[in-house]
Amino acid sequence: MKRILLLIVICLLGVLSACVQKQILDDVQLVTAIGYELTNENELKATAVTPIYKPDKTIISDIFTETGPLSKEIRKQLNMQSSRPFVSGKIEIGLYSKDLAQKGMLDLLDTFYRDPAVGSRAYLAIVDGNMQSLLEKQYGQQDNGIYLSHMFEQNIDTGSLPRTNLNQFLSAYYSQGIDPFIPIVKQENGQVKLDGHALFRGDKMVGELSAKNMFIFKVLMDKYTKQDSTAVKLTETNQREGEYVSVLKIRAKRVYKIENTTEVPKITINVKIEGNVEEYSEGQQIDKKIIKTAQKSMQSQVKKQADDMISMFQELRIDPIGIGGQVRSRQRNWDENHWLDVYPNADINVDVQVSLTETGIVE
Amino acid sequence: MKAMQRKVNERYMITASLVFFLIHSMQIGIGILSYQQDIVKSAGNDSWIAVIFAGLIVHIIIWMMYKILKNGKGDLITIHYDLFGKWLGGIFSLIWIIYYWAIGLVVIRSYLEVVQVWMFPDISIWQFSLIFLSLVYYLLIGGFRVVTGICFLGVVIPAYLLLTLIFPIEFTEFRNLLPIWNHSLKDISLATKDMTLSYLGLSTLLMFYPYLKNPERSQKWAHGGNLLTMLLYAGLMILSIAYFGQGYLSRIIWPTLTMWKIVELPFVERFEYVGISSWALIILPNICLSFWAASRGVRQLLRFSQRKALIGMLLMTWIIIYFLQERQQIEMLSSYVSMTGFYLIVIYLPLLFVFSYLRLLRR
Repeated sequence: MKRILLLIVICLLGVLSACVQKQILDDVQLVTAIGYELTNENELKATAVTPIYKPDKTIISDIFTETGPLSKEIRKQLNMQSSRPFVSGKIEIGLYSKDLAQKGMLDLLDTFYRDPAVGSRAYLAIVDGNMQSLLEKQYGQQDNGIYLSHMFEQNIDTGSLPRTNLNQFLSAYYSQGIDPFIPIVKQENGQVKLDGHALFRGDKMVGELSAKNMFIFKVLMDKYTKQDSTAVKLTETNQREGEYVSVLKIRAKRVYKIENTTEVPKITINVKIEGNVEEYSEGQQIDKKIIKTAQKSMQSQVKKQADDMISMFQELRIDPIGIGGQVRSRQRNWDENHWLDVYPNADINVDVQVSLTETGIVE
Repeated sequence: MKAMQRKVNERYMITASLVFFLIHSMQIGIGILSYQQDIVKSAGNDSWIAVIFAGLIVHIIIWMMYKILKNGKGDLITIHYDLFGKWLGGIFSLIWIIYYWAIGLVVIRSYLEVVQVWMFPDISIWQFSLIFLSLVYYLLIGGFRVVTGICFLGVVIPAYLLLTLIFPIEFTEFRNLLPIWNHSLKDISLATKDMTLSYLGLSTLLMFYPYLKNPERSQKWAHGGNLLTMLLYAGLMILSIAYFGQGYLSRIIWPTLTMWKIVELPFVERFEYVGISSWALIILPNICLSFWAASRGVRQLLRFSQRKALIGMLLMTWIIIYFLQERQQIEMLSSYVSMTGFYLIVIYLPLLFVFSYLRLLRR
């Protein structure tokens, strides 16, 4: 008798405890991208993108906009506009306006990384220009959040975008000897495109890197560059002035050499680049001489751009490529304040070695 | 009234090699989800060294436990009785029994907290704990061999979770670990002290020792179980530091769970849900074994029916769980229990070891 009673109680409990809030995919509004900007009254304006799955199996994005003082408060107000509750589990990208980033991002990111539902793979980006018009337009066959996320992913794998996501940003923000960066996106001729990087000191955006510097930046900072490409202007000999080769499938490696770590450090970054020449502006044969010229031109170009970039970082007192981290890992009694003092005057050199190995399938 | 049992019927005994699973499954529990934070706060990038030191200390403690048990013949309660007499020994035994019971309480409440924060905020605590505790009761009336079986399964089945640690590797920066040993001995020992808390589950060995068929031969398996725990803790610590960077890592409450946010599989967007659900199987041996040890202790000390003691304990647990609502309370309770464990195992046990050795010499 006692056993049967126990059994009934247990069965009943099994049934009863299923009463947690269900979130069925069809009954929630999945936010895939969310953009934040400042209004004139200094309030936050959030634009949420959610996909709408149409009966003919096409997907379009839908936009909701609301203003308020706190981002979770905005979510509540967004819910007032929607037939289904918004959920944050599928957020692929968080977009921020420039003026917001210049005032500091951490308060806004807090709601992102405090929320157990938001993944660490979420991308962050700065929007140059009008947020709403960027998010409103239909770009691909997906909704805009997924579209932007695929665009980022594709550029990380095969383009000039270094590995970046929410976790990388926070890790760089909280680490000593490295500052975070995030890519900038911009709407141009009705398409959305990557347009350089926003550079941060702490959580405030203090500088920008133009799109043409993205290749060098990736070579200097990403863990591995595998599939990048760039155009090289031939400069070594006068007769080839104004000719270009394009270098594809670039693989890059770096080795740091750090001397005199106590006073003003002397840092040499040895960059090794391998790539294939696959296009030549003059069209004809690509012979050894051209390859040699291209190698030398690329070497000097990369070096110059890298040197310029690093002195810009030093002027801004930021360190997005993590030179400080390299010094820290080689120094037993590293002191962040001391490093910040000497960093702007540190002697940082970039040494580039280029080897162009293949020239495609014809001579 | 029953007699104090010094020998167990061979029918209820287990093979020596299963001690490996008993020790290992008891050490890995709710702590591994969150142990990184405290250690990193004091030892930074050298945390993994502290993890290994703590593991070595625990090896020594296991060795001492075996010596005590071999000299004492019987379990902790009979040893206390023999060494300190009925009353003083009884008080010591009672402290240990309360400690065993409190481990079970803390583990189940901490797990429920994780479920609440990460998955179902509105889960009904009393219903869930009632079901869980009924399961524990059901397993425990099966006797110690069933508990051993659960420990075995609790190690083997969730082992697939190790595979998920491949995902974060793409985003790691192992340079975060360098330079090795740039913290003072004081920092490292502080971290080592904190870290020993994560290994402490093994004290149930003092209760189940009479159940081992070849107790002498089981010692190497106990060391093996602890070694595996140590390797797991150290590996996970290295991965966490490389993935988050020590600055960010010291701010995350559940680093192991947060690391799962990077896992992306075609069929599951957020792996935490799978992981946390699987975790129920990892904490089940913890709860079973600690309640078993506590109720067995009551049976030995008060010569009381083990089943009735168990029912009383489970009821008490259930009521207390219901009243523990806030994170602060849970954290306070769990730190009290860990500190008690630390004093009992790292301070009291060596004293007991010396005392039992002196007794042996005098005889």
